[in-house]
Amino acid sequence: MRHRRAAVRIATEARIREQEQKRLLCASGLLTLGGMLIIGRLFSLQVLQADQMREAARIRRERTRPLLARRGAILDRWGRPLAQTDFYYHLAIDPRSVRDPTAVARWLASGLGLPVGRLEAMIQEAQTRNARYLRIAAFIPQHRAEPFLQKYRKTPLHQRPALLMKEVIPARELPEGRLAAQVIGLTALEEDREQGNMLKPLCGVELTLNRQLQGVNGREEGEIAPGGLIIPETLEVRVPPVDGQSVRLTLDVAIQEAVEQALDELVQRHKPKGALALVLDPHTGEILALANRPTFDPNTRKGLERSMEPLRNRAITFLYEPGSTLKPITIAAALDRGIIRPTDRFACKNNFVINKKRIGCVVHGRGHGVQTPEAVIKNSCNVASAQIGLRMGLARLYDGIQRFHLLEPTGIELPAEWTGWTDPPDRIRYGRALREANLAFGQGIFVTPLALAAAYAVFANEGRWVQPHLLYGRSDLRTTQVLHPETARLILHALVRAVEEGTGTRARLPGYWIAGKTGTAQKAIPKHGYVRGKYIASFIGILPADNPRAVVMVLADEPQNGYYGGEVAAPTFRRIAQFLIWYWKIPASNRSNLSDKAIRWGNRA
Amino acid sequence: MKTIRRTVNGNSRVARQVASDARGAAQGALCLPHASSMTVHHASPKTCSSLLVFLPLLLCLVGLVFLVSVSIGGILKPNMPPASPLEPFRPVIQQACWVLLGVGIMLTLSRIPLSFYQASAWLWLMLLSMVLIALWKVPGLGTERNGAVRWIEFSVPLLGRVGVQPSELFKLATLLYFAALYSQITPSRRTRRLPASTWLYGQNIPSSYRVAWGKGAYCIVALWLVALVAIERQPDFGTMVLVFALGVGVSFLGGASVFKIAALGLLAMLGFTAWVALPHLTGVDQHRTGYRLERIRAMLDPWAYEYDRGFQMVRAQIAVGSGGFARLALGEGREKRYLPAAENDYIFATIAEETGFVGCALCIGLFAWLVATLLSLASRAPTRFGRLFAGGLALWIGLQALINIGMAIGLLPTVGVPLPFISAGGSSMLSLMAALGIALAIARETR
Repeated sequence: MRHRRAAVRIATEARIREQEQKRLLCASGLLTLGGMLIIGRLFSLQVLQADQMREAARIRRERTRPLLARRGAILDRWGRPLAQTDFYYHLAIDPRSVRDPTAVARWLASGLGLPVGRLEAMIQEAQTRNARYLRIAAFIPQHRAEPFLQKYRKTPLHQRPALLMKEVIPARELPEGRLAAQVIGLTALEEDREQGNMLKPLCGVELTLNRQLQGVNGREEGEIAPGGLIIPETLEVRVPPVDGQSVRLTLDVAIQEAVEQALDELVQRHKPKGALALVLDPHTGEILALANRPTFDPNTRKGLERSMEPLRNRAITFLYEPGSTLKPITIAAALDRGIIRPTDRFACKNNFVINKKRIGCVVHGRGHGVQTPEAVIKNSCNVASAQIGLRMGLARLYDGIQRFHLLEPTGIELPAEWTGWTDPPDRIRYGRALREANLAFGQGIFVTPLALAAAYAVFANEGRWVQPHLLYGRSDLRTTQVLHPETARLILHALVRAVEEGTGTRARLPGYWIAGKTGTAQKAIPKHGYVRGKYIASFIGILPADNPRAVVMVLADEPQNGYYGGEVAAPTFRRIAQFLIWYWKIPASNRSNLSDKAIRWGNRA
Repeated sequence: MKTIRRTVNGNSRVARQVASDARGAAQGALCLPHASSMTVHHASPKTCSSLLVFLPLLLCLVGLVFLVSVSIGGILKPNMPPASPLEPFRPVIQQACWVLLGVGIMLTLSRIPLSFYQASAWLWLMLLSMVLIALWKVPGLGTERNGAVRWIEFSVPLLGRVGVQPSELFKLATLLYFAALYSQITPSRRTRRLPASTWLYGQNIPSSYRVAWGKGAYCIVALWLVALVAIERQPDFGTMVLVFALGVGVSFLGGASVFKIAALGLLAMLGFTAWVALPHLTGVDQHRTGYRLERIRAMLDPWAYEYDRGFQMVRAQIAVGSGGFARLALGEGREKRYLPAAENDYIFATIAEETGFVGCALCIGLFAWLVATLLSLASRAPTRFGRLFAGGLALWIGLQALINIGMAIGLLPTVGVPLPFISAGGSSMLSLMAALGIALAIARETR
């Protein structure tokens, strides 16, 4: 029995062991299978795909970081900055890297001049959110942020209270504020992680001279640490940024300031829809000042909230019928070609009918009477101008105007310049006579203020037209001889008389000869013709007439409280002229000065 | 060292031979302790126990070396500036402490007789299950790290705050309990008449044995299942699966019915599918549990989810792939700078990057050697508890290494399962060392 029981026990034991062995074998087989699978996969990854994986690692490890180029400054003719670029820093920390928010807040606050309490609250709040990025300060100027970062970099790794990250923002600053805002133009920040933040030009000189101003961003390539900074030892490529060049404009900050002030006064008095004043050097074509109304503050962009109208530079994007201001040009063209002579006489009876249309002069009674061309300019006589126009004929009239470069863009360094325009003579089928008459006193033709000012500069520059421009020291200027110098002097003299005795008496300055012409153009609206009550008042003056230094143009679009050029624009001109005389210390003219230089009209015959 | 080669012929019908042959009874009894269907070189018990000390220590050393390497990479990680120059190496120092402590525990536990473990196994499992359930249900008990509540922190006078991960110890308790459970067997009532043997003994022998599943056993296994749910809620899906596999694996070694295990496996698969799919089908609680499907999608194509859920997987694969065939560049790996959890869950990626395929194969070889030693111990131990425990321990180490390495090379999704002996982590180290201590006790009793 004992035998038997022992045998059963042993047999059972054996059975159990046998089962255990089988199952152990099974389990070890399973583990071996898993092991083989892993070895196979390792072989495929590490041997077959090794290069692919190394490339994948390289791509993910290496980064390109832009190095920002500084956009060039815009300077006035004396090198005073009108626009310049400053760098501002956004600083951020990784809130998870902060052990002691109070100490870090104090450290940051002392370095950057920020309030401690708010910083600490910000850090704690970000830590509870488990955020990885917290911007602690925005728009810290470079001169303030850079010493702080230097100090931070010198701190040993384990003593740094927190990880700092920076983002550099270039910003355009205009130290002179609103001066010549439409000329300088605007830039917009374009954020780009790859190429680097850039200032993109939107309008004005910023846009046209962008090639010089922009510069080229550099870059550095290297391995990146997990926080996003390039590890200095791994730097492979470093292309330094090329800063943009500064450009020097022909503007003069002092003159510009005076012009802006004079224009402010005009706007205050007459509340026009728009106004413009520009100062041009007639000999060189340099634009010394150019102001527009309405305007805006380019630093704060105040004034642009409602409309983009303040961005408009009326000197080049405003076409209007010059009216009387064109008369000196047509008369000069006629004189220059010998179509009329200075001694010719034209009768004005204040009633002149062409093709059943009446042309009249704004004068009471019986008109201006019998006049020489000089008197026509002085009195601004429409009837006599019409007669001169008829005598010239449409083709010669058109050609004469064209030679003053009024019907083409001046090519100034500003974007989107408009082109003066009138119907060319070969396209006019009927009513030629009326056209001839109208064109002679400035109707049926559209010009830009800048082109007209440049045309007036011809009279001040011995009959030579010089391309108006803004970039200082240009050598590739277009110039053409438009008139004989004698003709230019004749017209200049006539313009002096227009100021002394004619329509522009409000522009007179005691002791100085001023040449000038007023213009009062009714605004024409398509299909309605001329509208009563909407005028463009303008005045173009040359100062001083015996030794011209500047051509000044003042223009007001739809002024209130008066609309004559002599009444709205001439006083503003006078203010500007006064400033120029003081600024340039122009000596007073003596009476003989003019008579020496100009040929007296009456004596010539 | 002297190895004795003992093989039994491949025919495993030992029992029947024994039963059929009177002389065979005595022979069979002699042969039985070493009967094996495997043809293996069995190390002598002495060699076996020295291997059980030597191999884990070698793995720990590998772990320390690569922990230093990862810490060097960690210096460049600026998301937490170090408080002192030695600060980045704190995990290394800590790990070294854990290794020393672990060796002490191992040697201590190896002195305690096996019967103690067998008798007290249920107690440990019950205690740890309670702790895990408490961790799940009692708010404020556990400490949250990386969005999971796995740790209970204590203040230790010298070391500072020390976190204990009960789920790691729970693996050991599971192993102990299931080994103890399946070693309590009684011969089955069913007998079988064996035609050739009856004439000799005149009595039928039992056809099988059965496990003594009493009421207490059912209660404790139920508690174990609840504790598994608690682990899943931490959330730590990987550890839950590993512990479950460990329990089922020991049962399998202990002779549980293969059909029942297969049925259980099928049930688990169905449960898993429901676990993944239900939030999407019902829309209930989707914002919190919807990550499961996403994680599986990310696992299937990590490169498509590179900057999202697949980030770790992609980075780990890149790190492994950059290693190439053979390389020895300790400390020069770059990917560890970007790889989250590079010092524990993903330490294998750094090993692979810095030593290449050859180094990986050596490392896997070390694990295989350790597992083979434990398996050979499992086939020779005199008591059933010892055999089951050693086999279960081999499964534990083998499975955990497979899961961790599979995760690092993109075969498995990201789960929080450390690489045994190598990954940084005190709880894992201590529970593994304790298990090895018990294995040493088994080896001591195998004479």
